[in-house]
Amino acid sequence: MSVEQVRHHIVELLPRLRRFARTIARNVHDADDLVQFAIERALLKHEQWRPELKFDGWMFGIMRNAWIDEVRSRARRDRIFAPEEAGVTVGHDGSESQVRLLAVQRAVAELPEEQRLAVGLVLVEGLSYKEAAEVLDVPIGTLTSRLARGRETLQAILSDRPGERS
Amino acid sequence: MKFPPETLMAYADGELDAETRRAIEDEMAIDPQLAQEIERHRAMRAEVGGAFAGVLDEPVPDRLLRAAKKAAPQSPATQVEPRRQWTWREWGSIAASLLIGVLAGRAMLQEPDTGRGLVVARVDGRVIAGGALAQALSEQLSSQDGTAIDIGLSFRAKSGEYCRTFGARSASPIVGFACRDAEVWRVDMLSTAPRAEPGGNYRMASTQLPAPVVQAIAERMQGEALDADEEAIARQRRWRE
Repeated sequence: MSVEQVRHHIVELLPRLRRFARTIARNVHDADDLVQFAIERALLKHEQWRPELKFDGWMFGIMRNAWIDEVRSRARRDRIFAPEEAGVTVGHDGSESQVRLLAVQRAVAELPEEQRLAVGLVLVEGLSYKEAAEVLDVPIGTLTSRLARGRETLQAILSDRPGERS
Repeated sequence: MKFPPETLMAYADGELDAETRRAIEDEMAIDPQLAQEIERHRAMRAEVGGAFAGVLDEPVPDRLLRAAKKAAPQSPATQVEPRRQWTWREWGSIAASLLIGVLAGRAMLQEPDTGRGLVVARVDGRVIAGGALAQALSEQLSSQDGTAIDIGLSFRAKSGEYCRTFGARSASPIVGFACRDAEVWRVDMLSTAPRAEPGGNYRMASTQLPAPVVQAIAERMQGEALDADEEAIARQRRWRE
């Protein structure tokens, strides 16, 4: 596959790569570092992508590996739980739905990594269980149990703290 | 009927087959708690999805656009890139030695039970099939289902010898072809294959040949692939020309 085709697909996919990164990396800066790193890796190994592979799954797999191998260790730990870094830029009008939205983002950020990846791929990126299992390189049963535990944990965090954190 | 929690979750995510789906829907009609549980999963999905939806509307930082557009960084990986233009002959010497160098340390080239190598590099530079692979190449017909090795097709090379394509079933399948060389099978090409689906079809994965392998076979093959009768006869003659 030509590197130009891969570039083209990457540019098209950038918003979703950033979104998936945001579920993994817990703050905007680390998330974009992760995307950048994954882009560089994908361009290096562009020959490995074949049209029969879904491009998003291929890129997510690269991101997951890049996160585990490289970026995670460099992530700025001191920023992890800083609320203003926690997620999507939203207006700070303090409305109930905005507060809830930030609470959900923070709850995702608190999930153990394996659960966070499963939640990010299926609930945020909308991959099927099969596709998500392939990205994570685990059997479907493992994926579903991580996803189920992730949902339970989120439920527990959010019902504990329905709106804001004191 | 009682459904495991993960099945309810899978229902909410649209992951179930029609039959299980119907069974759950029948049960939901009479069990409001079940319906509630599923609704909870759906609400969670919508809420988590919604919490990150805003990222899609953010402007993409310039540095990421630049990263996607700039020349691919140079590295040893890119320097061996013009691979597609290599002829099979180069593949024979480069691919086999290189890939074996790369793969030899990994379990996929060894039989899981015995740990014996499926391919063995000889000092003279030839790469020879060993263990279950050698046995399958000699004995197994294309139509037969092997346990560890699948044979795809058999053909005569332009240089006269018999060759056979194979795939080793494993989580990371290896495919390639080997040609008869006196009393052994010389592995002329090896490649990794598309991965098998999780829990899935290893045979499929071990019979899908990547384009460079197909190309190399096309260059080597004389006439058509052997049919079942011709193959059986060739086996009887122990693959001698």
